[in-house]
Amino acid sequence: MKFALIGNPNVGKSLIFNQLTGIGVEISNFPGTTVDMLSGNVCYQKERLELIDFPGIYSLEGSTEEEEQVRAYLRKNDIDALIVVLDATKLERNLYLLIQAAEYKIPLINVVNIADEAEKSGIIIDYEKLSSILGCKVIPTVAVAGKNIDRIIPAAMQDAVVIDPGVPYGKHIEAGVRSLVKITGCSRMDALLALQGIGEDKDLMEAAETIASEIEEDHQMSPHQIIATNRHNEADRIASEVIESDGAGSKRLSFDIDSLLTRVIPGVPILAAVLFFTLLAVFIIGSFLEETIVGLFEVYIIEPMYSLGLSPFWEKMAFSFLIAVEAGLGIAFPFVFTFYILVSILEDSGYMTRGAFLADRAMHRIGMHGQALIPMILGFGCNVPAIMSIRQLSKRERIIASFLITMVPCSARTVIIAGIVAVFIGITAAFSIYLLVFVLIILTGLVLTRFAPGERYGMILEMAPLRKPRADQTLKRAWLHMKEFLFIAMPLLLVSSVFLGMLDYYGILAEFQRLFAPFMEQVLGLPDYASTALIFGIFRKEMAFETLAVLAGTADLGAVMAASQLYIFAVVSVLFVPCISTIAVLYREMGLKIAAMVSLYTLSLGMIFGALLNAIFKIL
Amino acid sequence: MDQSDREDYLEAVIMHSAEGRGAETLNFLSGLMDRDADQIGADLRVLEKEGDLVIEEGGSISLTEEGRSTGESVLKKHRILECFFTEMLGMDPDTASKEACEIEHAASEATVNKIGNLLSGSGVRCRGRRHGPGFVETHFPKKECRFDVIDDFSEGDILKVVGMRHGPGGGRRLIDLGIIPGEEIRIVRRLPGRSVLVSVKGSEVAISPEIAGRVVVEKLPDTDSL
Repeated sequence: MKFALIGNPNVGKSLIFNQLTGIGVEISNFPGTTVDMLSGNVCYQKERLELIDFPGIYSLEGSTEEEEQVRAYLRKNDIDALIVVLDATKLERNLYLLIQAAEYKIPLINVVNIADEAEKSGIIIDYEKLSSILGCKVIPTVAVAGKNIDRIIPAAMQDAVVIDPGVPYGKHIEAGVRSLVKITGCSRMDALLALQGIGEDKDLMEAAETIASEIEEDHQMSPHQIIATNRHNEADRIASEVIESDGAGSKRLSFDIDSLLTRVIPGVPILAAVLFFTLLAVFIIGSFLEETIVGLFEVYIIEPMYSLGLSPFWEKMAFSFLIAVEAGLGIAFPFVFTFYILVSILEDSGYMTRGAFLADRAMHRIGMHGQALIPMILGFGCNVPAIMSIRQLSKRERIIASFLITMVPCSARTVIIAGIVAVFIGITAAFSIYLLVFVLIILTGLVLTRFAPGERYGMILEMAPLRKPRADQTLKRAWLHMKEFLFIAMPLLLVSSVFLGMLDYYGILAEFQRLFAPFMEQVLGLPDYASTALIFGIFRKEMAFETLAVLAGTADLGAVMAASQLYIFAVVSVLFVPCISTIAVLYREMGLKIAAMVSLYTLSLGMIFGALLNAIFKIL
Repeated sequence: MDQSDREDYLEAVIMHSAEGRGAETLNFLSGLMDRDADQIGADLRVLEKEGDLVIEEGGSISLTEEGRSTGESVLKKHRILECFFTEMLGMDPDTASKEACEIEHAASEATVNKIGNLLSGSGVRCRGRRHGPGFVETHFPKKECRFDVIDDFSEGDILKVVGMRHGPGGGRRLIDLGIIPGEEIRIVRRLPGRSVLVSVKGSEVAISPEIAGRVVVEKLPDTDSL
């Protein structure tokens, strides 16, 4: 049997999922998308059941990717029972989704979670009455305490029923539905969706469009608005029948903290401090862990490989492969994973949505809105997951975000700044590079706002409730971000590293270096081998630094290059061309044109600033 | 002079109170109508002959009863049409004003009144206001008519959603979150950048200024209930 959990974001659905399923949870994507769908197994009375956890959604008739995927999945009709999870503190709004889900005629049960918080804030729900109004099983739960969770699976197996909420949609909509059913022979469900502009059948959609525009003319409201309003009214009616507010303690627990977090003062300074300390923590923890991992790797893997006595070609290949694995591990776990754990804590605590609200205005200036703050922050870990998370934005904002996120100094670039500038020049110089990059990001945003095509959408974002983050949830979320790094960026790293090793082996890199030497020396004031290091940087940003050390013949770069040269090298490699994984993801998400434009733009930015700095240093 | 020119003159005289301006009348009208003073003088004499206005000694003009009622009727038609274009059809104010200027002469008062009834029937109230910064006086100054949106109110206000103006994006999400006509919402926070946090159906939703500027609302008297 196959069950699925469905509900609004932040209703504690995932928590319930984690408690119901044991080990062996599989995170898979909806086919052809990046929308995560968790599926796990539950054993009950020696029977093995499959449980799916859909992403949190507000509606089954929206146009976001999550909503579309869940809708598509439900329509496949192979789910035996739907477990609809509602938030007791926001029962009315949550009933709206239940009413929509009921239209799919899948047997279902109701789980009303967060029952304790609702009670604390004076919302008394008559669960039996709710059950009799809806005509299905209702289980009040407190997932954080594990209360009543054990009743869910037995209920889903025995008590799940198809319910008919019988929402009155008005005679025009009903007439429209009837005639669509008659004309095309579709189901009532298909007709309702088609009237709202959702569906694939061409004949049906054409007929629906005609009827929809007639209805809209008569009512000054689109069918979607009419249907949604009727559902909300129904939800309101049900909620008012089953909820009895005792009026006591109607203020939410998080009220006081919240009123501080969403004000400009002290909200904005808090936001700045949170972001700064997150980055600082990653910087410190990351550098420490990286040294350990790289050190161990050198001693126990790289060195033994050399002692195998492979032929020069295979030795080169093995080295290229291992160095990629080493760098992947050296970056992935110390920097990327640490970063994503911290970010996940911010997301889970509900703080991130407040940050997005506060940043809305500032993000507008650079052509986006508050919701784009989260992808921008993810970019500090690795640009790849960051770019994958911009799908929720509008086309115009995605274009702007592609440019800006690619410029955000990711973990690998942090390694360059830390390893070259902070070590050999000083911490102030390191921060000046961050400053330069931030200024360039803002300027780029200001310019793109004027030129990017398309309409600007605004932010509509529900504030997640402030909650104490839980370790298991946080780890899972961090893993979801991390997964994109491991499965998309890492394979590219390995392939490109081996490819580069081959180029090197056949002497092509040396040719290349000779070709670019004059440019390097004249314009950027860098030694000729710097061009090779920069090329390696395209494959993996931090490799620019490692290669430089290898080619310079010493790890003490301060001894072979002047401070100004190191600074220029760092600036150029941080700015110029995103790494190959980022380009690949840009290509996949945004198409060839944007990927090429972003690469070209950052390339020229790096070169121009390198040349500019060189000119300035010469005068000084 | 054709009828629409005549109506334009009378409309402009009423709207900018061009009566009793003495010697500067010609220059004043010339600035408004984008025609040279000689032409204006000639036109005014034609209007006088038709009985719409009287040119007094010293150059002042005053409208006759007929002239005034014609001008007022045209002005009213313009306001209703423009309001209809911006608020119901979601056209941008400049185009709306320009189109209204054309149609006001052709459409009958009865027809335009019907549009007016439709507007008030859907809860749209038109009123002139906001001659703030960014206001450019062109041939005909923008006769702004708009109705209240979330963006017009401040922290703590309790509002009732009346409707939604057309615009890009976000419509469905707002509806799904419960921001629908008839719903009561409260502004929890309003940042200096005009992003707002509203409380609706027990949750708090952050909304960007451009979207908050499209949700038509009316203010409810303060109560402690919400």
